[in-house]
Amino acid sequence: MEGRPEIRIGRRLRVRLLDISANGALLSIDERLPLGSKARLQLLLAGNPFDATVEVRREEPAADGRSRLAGVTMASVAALQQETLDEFLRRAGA
Amino acid sequence: MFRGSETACGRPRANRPVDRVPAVVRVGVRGSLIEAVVLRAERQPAVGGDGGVAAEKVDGTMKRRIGDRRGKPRFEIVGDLWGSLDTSTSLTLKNLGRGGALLDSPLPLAPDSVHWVTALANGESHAVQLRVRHSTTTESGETPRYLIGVEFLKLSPGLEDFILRQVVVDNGNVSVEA
Repeated sequence: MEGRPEIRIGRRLRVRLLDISANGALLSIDERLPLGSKARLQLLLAGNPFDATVEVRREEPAADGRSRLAGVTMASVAALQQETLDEFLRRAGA
Repeated sequence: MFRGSETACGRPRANRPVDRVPAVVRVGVRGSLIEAVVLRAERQPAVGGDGGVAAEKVDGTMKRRIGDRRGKPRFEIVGDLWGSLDTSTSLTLKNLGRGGALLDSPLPLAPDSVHWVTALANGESHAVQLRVRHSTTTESGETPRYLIGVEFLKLSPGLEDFILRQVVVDNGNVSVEA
């Protein structure tokens, strides 16, 4: 073949934030995520939009047997988004 | 936003033990605001050779949290805080025909579901709408993979030309191994 075609599928998945730190988060999700894959995470943290690129570092079934748990690290966070996250964590931990 | 007078948010407390007092904050859920309780979690050790699975709690006991390698304080969300995750996954083309293809995927796709995918061919990007006709699991180590047969529903003219150039016509059957 004259160059093998690459096929990519983009999907928007609904996630529930279980916990969060400055460098990662634990998400509950209905579908399996490939380890090492990157995704764009969007949340509202205390009413403020938060948007970051995350990388899936671990993935396992949740205790309920239906959903999955995905541990992600913050792979790329813009400066403004980092401020939003830092402020959320600062207030939560105060 | 935060309910300053009713919460601990924004008011540093000296000598406040971690993992004890919940801080009530408001978190947003798809445009609306609900209350959730954020608990200060224990500080995780820095990642070390052991993978950072042990954490010292306030009372001095050790709690193991397998697989958790974060070295920063973690805040557990009690309540619902929903968001979205936009993923882009690469699918390996196993074989290709004029009307469809067989794909190797790390993700399951439900039979009869319809998806838009992006095909990159010869440096050009093409949007393709496809329908999943069948899906089978293939175990490979710990990570399952899926062989997924898809039917093309909508192809750009450029990609259609590309496919036509690739296929091999053999007694009326059109197929090509990728």
